[in-house]
Amino acid sequence: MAWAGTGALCVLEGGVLKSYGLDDPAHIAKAGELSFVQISDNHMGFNKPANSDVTATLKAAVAKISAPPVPPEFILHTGDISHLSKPVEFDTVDQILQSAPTKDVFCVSGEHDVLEDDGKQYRERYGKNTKNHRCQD
Amino acid sequence: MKVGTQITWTNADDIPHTVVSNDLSFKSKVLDTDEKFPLTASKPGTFPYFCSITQG
Repeated sequence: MAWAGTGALCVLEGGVLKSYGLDDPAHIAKAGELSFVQISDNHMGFNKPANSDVTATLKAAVAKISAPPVPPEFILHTGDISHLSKPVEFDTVDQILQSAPTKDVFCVSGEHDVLEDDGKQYRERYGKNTKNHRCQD
Repeated sequence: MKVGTQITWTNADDIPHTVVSNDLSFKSKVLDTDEKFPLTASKPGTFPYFCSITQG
């Protein structure tokens, strides 16, 4: 694995959705008509050289998310919340994200989030009040 | 493999993998780095296998 933990600020301006790095303070300062943050691949529990402190990386991301005067509307987590689907890994991420100033956190599962149990734990944690849809050709 | 052949896979990668035979006759649990999957063959033959997480 080459890295773990990433994020982007997405801003809707004049009907156009643009994305910026979380390290771009000029854009983080503007809220636009709608702004949200996409984070991904925390791999909580991972501790190898690619990122030996993924907890610190997520906390740093939340600090950047918390910086704008107008907070982003929501966080969209696009998967690999955990590294091995362990409850403590999900718990750690959930606790850190609770300190973010956004109203909601929405999640999409990564393959590391649904190991061993076909996603049962993931759906119990993040799938409440959602519906299952099957796509057919 | 002949019946009784013993094989042990070790995950030397920094991400988890599994060992799953194409015919699903054997399947490991998720192996984190340095975890092992020992197998004793119960039937003879050639058994192609893959990782069910990375599809490799």
